[in-house]
Amino acid sequence: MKNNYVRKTVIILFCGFLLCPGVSFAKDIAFEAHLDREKVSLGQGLQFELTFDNTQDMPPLALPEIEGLQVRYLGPSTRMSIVNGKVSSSITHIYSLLPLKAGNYKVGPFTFEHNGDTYHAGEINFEVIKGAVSSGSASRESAQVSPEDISERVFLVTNVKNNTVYLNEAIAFTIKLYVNRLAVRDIQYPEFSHDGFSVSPFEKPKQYTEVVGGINYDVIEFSVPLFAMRQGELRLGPVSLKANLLVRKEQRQRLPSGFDEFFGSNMLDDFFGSYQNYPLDLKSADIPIIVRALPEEHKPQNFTGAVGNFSMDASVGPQEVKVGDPVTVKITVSGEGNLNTVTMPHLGASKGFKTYEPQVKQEGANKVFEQVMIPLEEAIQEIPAIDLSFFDPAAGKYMTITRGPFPIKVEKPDKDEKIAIISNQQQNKLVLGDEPLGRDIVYIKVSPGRFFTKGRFLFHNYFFLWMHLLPPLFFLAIFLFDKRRRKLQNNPQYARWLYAPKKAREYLLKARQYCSSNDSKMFYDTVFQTLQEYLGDKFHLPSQGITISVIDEVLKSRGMDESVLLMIQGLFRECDAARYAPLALGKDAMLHTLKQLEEVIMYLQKNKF
Amino acid sequence: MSFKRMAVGILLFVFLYGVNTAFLFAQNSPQEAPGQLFEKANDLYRTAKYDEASDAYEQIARLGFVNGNLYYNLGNSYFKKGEIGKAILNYERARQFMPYDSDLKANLAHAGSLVNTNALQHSANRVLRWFDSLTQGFSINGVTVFLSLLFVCFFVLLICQIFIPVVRKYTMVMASCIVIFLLAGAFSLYRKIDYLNKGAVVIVKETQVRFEPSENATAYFTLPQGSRVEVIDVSVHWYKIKRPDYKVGWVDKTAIELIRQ
Repeated sequence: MKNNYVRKTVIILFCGFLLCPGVSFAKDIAFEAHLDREKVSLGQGLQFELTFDNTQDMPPLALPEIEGLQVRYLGPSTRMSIVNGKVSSSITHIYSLLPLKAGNYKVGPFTFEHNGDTYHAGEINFEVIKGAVSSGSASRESAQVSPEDISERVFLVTNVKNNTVYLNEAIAFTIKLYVNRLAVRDIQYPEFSHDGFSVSPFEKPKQYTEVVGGINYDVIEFSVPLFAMRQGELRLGPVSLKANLLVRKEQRQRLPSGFDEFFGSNMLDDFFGSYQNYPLDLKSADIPIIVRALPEEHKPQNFTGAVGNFSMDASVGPQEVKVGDPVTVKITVSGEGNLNTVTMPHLGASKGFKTYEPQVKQEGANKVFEQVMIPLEEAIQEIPAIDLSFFDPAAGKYMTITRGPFPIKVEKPDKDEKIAIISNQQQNKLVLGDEPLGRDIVYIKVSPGRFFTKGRFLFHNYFFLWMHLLPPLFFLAIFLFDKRRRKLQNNPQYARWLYAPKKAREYLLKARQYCSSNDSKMFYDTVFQTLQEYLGDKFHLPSQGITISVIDEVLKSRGMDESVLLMIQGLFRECDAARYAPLALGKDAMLHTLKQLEEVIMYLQKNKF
Repeated sequence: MSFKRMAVGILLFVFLYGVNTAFLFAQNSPQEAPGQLFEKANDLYRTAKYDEASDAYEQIARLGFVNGNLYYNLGNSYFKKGEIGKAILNYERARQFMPYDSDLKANLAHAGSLVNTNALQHSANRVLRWFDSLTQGFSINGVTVFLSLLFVCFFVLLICQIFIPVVRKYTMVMASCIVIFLLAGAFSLYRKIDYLNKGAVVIVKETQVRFEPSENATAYFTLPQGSRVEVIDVSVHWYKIKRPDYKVGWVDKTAIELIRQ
């Protein structure tokens, strides 16, 4: 009992101990920084650790930006140990460092404040050299990045065709990513600041190789069409592009020499994937763009803001119509420039036409306008000319293109056909919703109609309710009848058994008639036939084949009463005697036979065999 | 028995059933003196003697003869007298006989709009509202006959599937449909009968619904005239009522009148 109490106390204390280590050891927290190597080749990553001893409640520290060094936080690692009853715990925040150029680097010193306490850790120095670090093996050296600055081997170049543009002029902005002998993966679309510009989505990137200063680069080119929306000096960029650089990991723990020799370190490295992704955030400088307003001089009257160098095609169809039929004017504007600024070209005087809003579609470098026009008069002979005015930034002047007029033939409408063009406003006038209407109840019913007894409904009527028994009963009767019919059809034995008494009654009636008329021959023929048919049907035997011997054999086996069996045999014998021997049997004998026959049938009906 | 004989049998059964139903309807409609009283009441109404007209219509009802037209005209008489609550009560009674009548619908809506009771005339429960809408245009007798015919159809279908192989193929589907309609219709009929038995209308200008059947009890809410309620319990001088939005309280017996007479 006491032991249990002690054990429980120890467990509770231990749990409490585990749950609040930060509180218990806040004052003894030690802070230190550690780097896995002091010398590293360019292109290799380093692991940097900040360890807090005697606590596990420390947030990660944001490392200051160091030029030429890319820092990434990998996550925390906690540790707890109990040695001789002494508990120690720690948390280590792990960072990866990727030097982007060779040189001496200094990280720290670190000062960190948390919960009112301040922690200090000294600085750490390390060197990045262009050559291979001596401790590495020859094979590993060859797989590492060769001795140049990374920024010389992966960089961004941005370009615009012209730094001085007009308002709304289309600008082709290209961003090129140059990569030389580096594995760059997960390249994302560039992001750039574009205040004052309207930017369309990126086009599909192009990929090619280019030689710059004698070095071969793989190039990915991103193009984005944009145009300036306000005048003045604007800045495009800086551009930022995110990607991952695939770098071989440095093996921290060496395997035993024999093991290494046996398997070969390269083989293990390749197999277990000793490459590591380092995030790259490439940046380029911004580009100044001077945006000028469009000149006011010589601005055409119909100019609506289109900037570019465009051409226009126009067609009209059908060219022969009746009054009230629609004519479609299709205008296609194509060329270089900002198609967003191109609006529906100006149509000349459209008097005598009813027009609707044009439908606009943009298909690649073409913009298509479809204008429906309905001629209202026969006198109309043409669709008026179409003008497109735009500012050509290359030429620095306004241009106007004219197409048409287009001749059309308008005929009279059919005799009874009326022009049915009603505007929405006219239709609205026909709706009577606003008409003030009086409200009152509808007048009384003049006819009394059929009266009912108060409080009596059809469902109160018992006769009506009982009548609902009829359909199920009717169905039940038909169902049973059908079942019997099917049984008779499918089971001839049952059918013969069932109809045997009915047939026997008919034969008995005939026999009685012959008896009355004293016709002994016919009488015994009928009695014989009755016996044969009845016994045949009753016991499912061929009627013609029923003889005394068959009867004896079949009926005995079914356990029939001996006296009845004898009676049947006697009847058969009497019939044979009367039919084949010329004996003149009297009426009494016939009546006796008839009585015996009836008894036999009665017996067989009453008993089942 | 051949198929022809069976078909003749079915037709004969349906005919007899129809004749019997018609006979029952005829039994339910004694055609006597109320016709003359009705004409007299109409004459009084025409001469704007609405008090006398309503008395004459009430007299017919007291004799035990009722129909939709009688209650409709009685409702009109009360409306003209300015007793909107009683007008709505009688329109509701007329609705039990001729819910499809457009004049009745118009008058009921108009009377309801004058006392602002149209919002609370249907159940707050959506499913119940849907069931009610199924047979909205049918009277109680109409729904009863409809259900009765569906019942017969069900057995005719069962009989037909015995003799006609094509019908046998679709029996399950058709029988299921009929059963679903039967069940939905039966529930709808139950709702109609329930409303007939328990439905009541406020006939005074305004009445307080209280938490207890006592004059001194706290008022829960107020019902304007013409409001439809459901009577769920009776005390000596009080009805316990339920509003379509399920609010329950006690109201003075003189303030409301049951739709069922």
